[in-house]
Amino acid sequence: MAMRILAVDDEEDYRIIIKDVLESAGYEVRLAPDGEAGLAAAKDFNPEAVLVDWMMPKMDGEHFVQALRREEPLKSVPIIMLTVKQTADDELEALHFGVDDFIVKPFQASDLVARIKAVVRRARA
Amino acid sequence: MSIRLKLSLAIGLLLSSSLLGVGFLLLEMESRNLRQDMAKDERFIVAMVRRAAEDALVQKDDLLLLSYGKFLRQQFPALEYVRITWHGSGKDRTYTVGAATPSPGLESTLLRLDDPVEPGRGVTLDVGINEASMRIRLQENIARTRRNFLRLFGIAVIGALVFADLFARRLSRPLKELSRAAAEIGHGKQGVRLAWKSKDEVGRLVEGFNRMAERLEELDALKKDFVSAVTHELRSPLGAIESFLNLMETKLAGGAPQDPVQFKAYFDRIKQNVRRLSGFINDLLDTAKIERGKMECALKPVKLQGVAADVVQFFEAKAKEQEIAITNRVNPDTGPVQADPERLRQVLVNLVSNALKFTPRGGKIWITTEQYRENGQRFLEVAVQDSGHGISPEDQKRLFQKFAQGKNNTQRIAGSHGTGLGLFIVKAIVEAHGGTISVQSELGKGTRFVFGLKMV
Repeated sequence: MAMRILAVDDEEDYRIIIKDVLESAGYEVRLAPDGEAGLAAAKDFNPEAVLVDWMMPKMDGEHFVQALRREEPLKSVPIIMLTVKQTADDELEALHFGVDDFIVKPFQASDLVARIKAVVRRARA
Repeated sequence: MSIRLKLSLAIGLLLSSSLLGVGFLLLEMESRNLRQDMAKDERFIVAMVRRAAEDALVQKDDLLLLSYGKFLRQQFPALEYVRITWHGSGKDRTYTVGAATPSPGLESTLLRLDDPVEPGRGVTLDVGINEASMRIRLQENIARTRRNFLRLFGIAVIGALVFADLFARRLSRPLKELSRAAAEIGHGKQGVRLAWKSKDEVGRLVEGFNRMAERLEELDALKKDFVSAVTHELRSPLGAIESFLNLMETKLAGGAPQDPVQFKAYFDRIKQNVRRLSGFINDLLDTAKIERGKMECALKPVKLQGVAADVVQFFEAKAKEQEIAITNRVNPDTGPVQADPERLRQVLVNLVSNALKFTPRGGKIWITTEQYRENGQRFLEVAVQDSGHGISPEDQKRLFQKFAQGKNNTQRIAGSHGTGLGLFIVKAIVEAHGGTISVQSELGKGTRFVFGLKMV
């Protein structure tokens, strides 16, 4: 069965790219345009890994991650932050509020897939 | 030398010198008084002896005068001797109180009193006062006064110095604080404020300093906003373009047959991002022009109706997609306005695209005009109105500033990426046309941007 991945990003460009990359890699993908919609999708879809942008309207990545970490069945799901923020401080901050990995946009398709595999492997170990 | 030390020394010196001046004046007056007292004492002794002699003469009591003389000698040590010579009944009798040994400084006063009833009877008095001893006592008195004065002066000077130091410390403390705070701000520390309050120049300086610190932080925040806005607006379309290219490259490298429809869609996405990027760069160039005061518009008669219709058509597809109705309600009979057609189009495009961003599905946007006359000049008031989310009064105030995006709105509206330069440029263009732009808005009800253009 295909692995379920939820991708939350307010920019349509990235939603299109992520969908293409992940579906090409054989995953099942669900997309959401902001944190609020992402949270609803997560409860419904029960993903095995989550990709989330940082700066989004309605609910940003930070609040999304914190909210997800409070949801009982989802609290230990691996989360990768996918953002244009790129300083070491940004990465540290994101790791502090609960993400498992940090990818700077723009990214390579192979990089994204490899990192998803890595966080899922760690989560299952 | 610190201000505190300078002030202390200056105040201390001033107080000490004035104390010294006043002190010497007092000392001089005291010495004069003492000297006068001495002269008075001298005359007083002689007068007393004279009074006693008169009494004795009337009462014919020799002893009275004698005992009084003794009493006076005890009272006034300067009274060296009193020689009393009674005249009458043939022979003179002489009594002497004290020793009449001549010594330097001895001053003798001779007095002759006659009995008014018995002629020939009288008394001669020789009063010897030792002025030298009086003068010595006077000197002693003056010296004692001077010692007392010096002691008091010493205490007063110490007091003055302590007071001066406290005063100087009080005055210089805010200055010290100011220089410390200024140094901190110089090192880039934020939130530095001084709590000093007084109604004098220093109080005003502190107030001004706090205002300056606040303004500096505002400017700093503005600069950060600018940098992050520019970075975001440049990086996100560039990032999207690069990501699409990477994706397409990976797909082509995989060798599998590609879906041309999908590739066409990706090319369109790339094109859109390129347009967004060049739009932003144009906005930046316009902003730079405005900052240099070079926003120039070549005014000529333009029919607004045509420009408005063009703009409405430009947004038609997007509006349909968002289920928003855009209407051009400009009267086709409206006369031409004085405008730069390209810039006028830019103003309308900006206002309508903003309206599209902040108007939910099923909403309305319309462009209207109204003619009015002011000082004999005909104007056309152009309004772009929407039934959207509205702008809070707080956001309305900073709407036309560079990189000032409504805080409430951008958080609520999905995909509302803006450069934060649009309205800044719109305002500059309207002003270059000799007009002004204003906004009326209520949260939840909609927004109306109005600007005036001169008519031909």
